[in-house]
Amino acid sequence: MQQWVEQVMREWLLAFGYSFHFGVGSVGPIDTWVQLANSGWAYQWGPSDYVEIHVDSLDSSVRRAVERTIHAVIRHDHSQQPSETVEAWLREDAYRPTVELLREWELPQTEATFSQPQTIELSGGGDWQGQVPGYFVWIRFAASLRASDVSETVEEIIREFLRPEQLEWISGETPSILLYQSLHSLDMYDETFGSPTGGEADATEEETMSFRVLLQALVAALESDGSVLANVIVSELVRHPAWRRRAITSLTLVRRMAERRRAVLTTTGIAPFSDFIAEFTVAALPQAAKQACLAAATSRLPDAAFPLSEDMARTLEGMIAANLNISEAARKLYMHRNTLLHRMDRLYADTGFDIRRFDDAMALFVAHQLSIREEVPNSSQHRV
Amino acid sequence: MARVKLEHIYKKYTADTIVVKDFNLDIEDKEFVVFVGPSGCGKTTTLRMIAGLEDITAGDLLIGDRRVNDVAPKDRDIAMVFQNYALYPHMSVYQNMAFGLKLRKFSKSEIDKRVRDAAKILDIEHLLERKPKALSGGQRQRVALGRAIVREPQVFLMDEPLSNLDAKLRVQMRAEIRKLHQRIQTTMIYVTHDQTEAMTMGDRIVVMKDGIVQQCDTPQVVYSRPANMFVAGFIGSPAMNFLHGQVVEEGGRVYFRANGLSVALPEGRYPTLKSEGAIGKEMVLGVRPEDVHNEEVMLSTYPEAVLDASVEVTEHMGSEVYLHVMAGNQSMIARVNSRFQYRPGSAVKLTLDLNKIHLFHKDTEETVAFQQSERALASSEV
Repeated sequence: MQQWVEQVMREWLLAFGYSFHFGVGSVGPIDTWVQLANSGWAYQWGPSDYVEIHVDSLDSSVRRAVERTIHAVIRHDHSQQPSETVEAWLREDAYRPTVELLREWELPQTEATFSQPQTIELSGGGDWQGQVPGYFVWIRFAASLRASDVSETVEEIIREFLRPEQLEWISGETPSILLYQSLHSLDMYDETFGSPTGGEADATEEETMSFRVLLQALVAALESDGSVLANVIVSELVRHPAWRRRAITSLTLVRRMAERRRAVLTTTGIAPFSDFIAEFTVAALPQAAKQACLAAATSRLPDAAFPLSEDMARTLEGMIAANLNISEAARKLYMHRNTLLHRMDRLYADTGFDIRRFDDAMALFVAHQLSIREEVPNSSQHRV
Repeated sequence: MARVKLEHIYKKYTADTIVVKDFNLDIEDKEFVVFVGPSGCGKTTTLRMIAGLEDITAGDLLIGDRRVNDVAPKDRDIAMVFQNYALYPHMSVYQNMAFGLKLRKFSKSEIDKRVRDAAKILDIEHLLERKPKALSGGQRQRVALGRAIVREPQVFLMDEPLSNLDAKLRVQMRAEIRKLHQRIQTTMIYVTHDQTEAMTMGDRIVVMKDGIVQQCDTPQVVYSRPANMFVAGFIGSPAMNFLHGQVVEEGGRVYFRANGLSVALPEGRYPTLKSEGAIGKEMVLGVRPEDVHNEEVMLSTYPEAVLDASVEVTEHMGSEVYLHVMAGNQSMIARVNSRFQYRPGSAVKLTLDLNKIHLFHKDTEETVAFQQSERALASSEV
């Protein structure tokens, strides 16, 4: 057990630049932090297990993350050893906050092109290789799916739509499939994913199908022919072999963002990385900047309350989706124009932001995104 | 072909997230029922519960006489049609239509017979060798329907099947689906967020909001007698105008008064207004744009409902014009004949057809349910 916790802790503490010592012995009562004489801190979680971290000052967020990591690992399936497999990476999101995952975002900037494709090693053992550019696609099925009942049919349907270089079943709370799809293998030579509204216009002859439309058709076929409900998360575009791990990490981030957004606006069941640019930007801000932005937003009105209630968040997102066109937003939100105007007045009275103005709408969107994140302390729990 | 019965159906994801609440509906054999409502209202979830793709948290679902809550989706004898066609891009139309049957291990001869029969019904026999990308949107949707027809299911479930088509084709396919329903005589459940589709296609429509059925009736009744403000605002385009004000009694007459507006309500409606405790209360007056008139004859017919308004925007629709006006401090839309020419900023006198107005309680948003006799009386008085 200790060995496994050590491996996980080593991976991420080193990633964030902390030196540490992992030891056995008693440094204090169980489940506590102790400041050590050698400018280090030790956290002990069992009668004889502790981790010692050497830092000048121990940030409370690091402190919380260490605790959460250790306890999550302890709760985790003990029989599974951490490994370099994609499955293990996907599971990391169980104990790693978004902001920490994003710290690993620095990677080589060189890109592979279609004329000079490079290969990507897909699994730890090197059994699978695919060409970049491509996407990792995570297909998650409804919890009620008994994989053994339909797995054969599901795979057959997926392989009729896609030409995956790798396809693995991932065990977990809900059954899922992770696959890597090189764009070279598809009948389209277009790196764009397609816009969220793509495919709504009448299809013309010989059009190039975007990857988004292809996946939407796959989800529908899984429902109608496979009798299974699925949602699909798509990674960032993998342009370089070294981006593999980052792309897989992006899947877990997209999943969180999509789940959060679904509480406000429903989606089509396809959640690609490229649809969550605003949310990622907000998530990637340093903690101090997040707090400063939120403080600036709440300074408009002393009583301004964040996060916004679901109704108010819908109003805001509806207006942004309609490019601040009130009639269009009312149509999208299925509400009467007068009701929308009334809600915007209420939002202005409650927050000091008039979302008819572009600047105010964007500022409120960012403030709302910041306030619904767990990582930001001091945001009021009171809702408008 | 079968009757579908939903009894006290609930869908909960967590204790706090209830997406469908106490859904009750008895769908007759061969009936065409449309679920309509805004995104997130629970209509697709309900459809998926019928299909077996979502578990039912509580309640009973019967197809025919069989309770199917625990029956696997593939054994429910239903077929689904989607917005995204669900066509396999690398297969021909024939292979697309045959694939579902192949997965279900039908014999080759049976598959061939069913595919060719369905192609004939849908008039796509000449397209059988084409790949989907060589088809137009309308043709693709026909193939998608064909994939469902070959299954010969007891019930068809359609989830926004026309949303991918352009406006003109959508109108055409609406009629095609209605004809198909008459031809194959099967129970159909159709989900849409488009109230026009619901109104034009359904034998009955079920209007949903926040997981709760707001009203279930024929399109005509839902339009003319909406159960509440949500239904009134959702069904109809442009949407019904809502004026916020107070119902007051003065000198033996009852008026609806809003800021700068005063409308004398018909005497025939007094009993209900009094019995529902509307007098002296904040109420909402609803009137559809086509029931707001500018013609002289209507101004003289309803003199006590005349409003002075100023035109903000005009939308020319060909045979008619939508006037966006401000009356008092309330905005309204009037649908008037295109022979009238107005410019933004010009003054206009409008009147409301008092026989067609609706009153809603401001707090509950429920309609004040006037009896038919009162409506008739109100009509005869004015």
